[in-house]
Amino acid sequence: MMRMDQEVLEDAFGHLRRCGAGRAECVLYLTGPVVDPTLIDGLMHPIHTACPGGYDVPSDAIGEVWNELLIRERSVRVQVHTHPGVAYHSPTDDSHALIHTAGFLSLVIPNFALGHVGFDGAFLAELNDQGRWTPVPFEGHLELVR
Amino acid sequence: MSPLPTATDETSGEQQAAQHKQTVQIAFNGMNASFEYDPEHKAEQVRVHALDHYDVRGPERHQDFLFGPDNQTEIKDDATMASQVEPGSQLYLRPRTAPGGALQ
Repeated sequence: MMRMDQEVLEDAFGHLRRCGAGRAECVLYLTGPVVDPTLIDGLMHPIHTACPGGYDVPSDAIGEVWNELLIRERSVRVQVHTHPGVAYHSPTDDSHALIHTAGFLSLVIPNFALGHVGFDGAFLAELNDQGRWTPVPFEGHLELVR
Repeated sequence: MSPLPTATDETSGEQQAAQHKQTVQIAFNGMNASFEYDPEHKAEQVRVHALDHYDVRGPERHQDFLFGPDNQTEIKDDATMASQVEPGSQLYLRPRTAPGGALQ
């Protein structure tokens, strides 16, 4: 189970709201130290394009993320993006994740993250041992810590 | 008809191959590891080795490609390592792009 600082979640909502401005989706990556695979204590907000129904992180931006991760000895644990309405995993979300290793999480926040900071209405999926996304409950997979 | 190779020939060949091995570093999601390769082998072999090493799984794992030291130039699967990579280089295993969203 991943442990996530409450401050990181608040910071994430701030980025998602400011960037998307209630008009476009936004994406960011929750990170933690390579040496502690269960801790999430930071985030990266990559350069990306976005519209009301989607986003894309281009190759050069992924390259920057990879460089930063290597320098700081950190790993992406969860990819997070917003939807304009209901949160779910689209076929593109399923097939174009940033990471394809078992246990990687994908968090989708509804309503451009304009609601309360938290997981109400959010969707969480985990990449399983066969490399397939499976919806999972927050309990037992992603715990907020203060 | 050419003669079958002897055990001595095979041993000699293995020794020669070992002598020609080179290494690169390949980074993935903040981790970094050293990989040995035969310079005359296609880069795809090194990529698959790295995918296996980092336990990248599933039908989408082949969306992860090798990129060169500038982290922007893609290493072509079907060309040899020798033609594209300097021994000892830092390479990166990552996707070309990462789209998503409700209507994508």
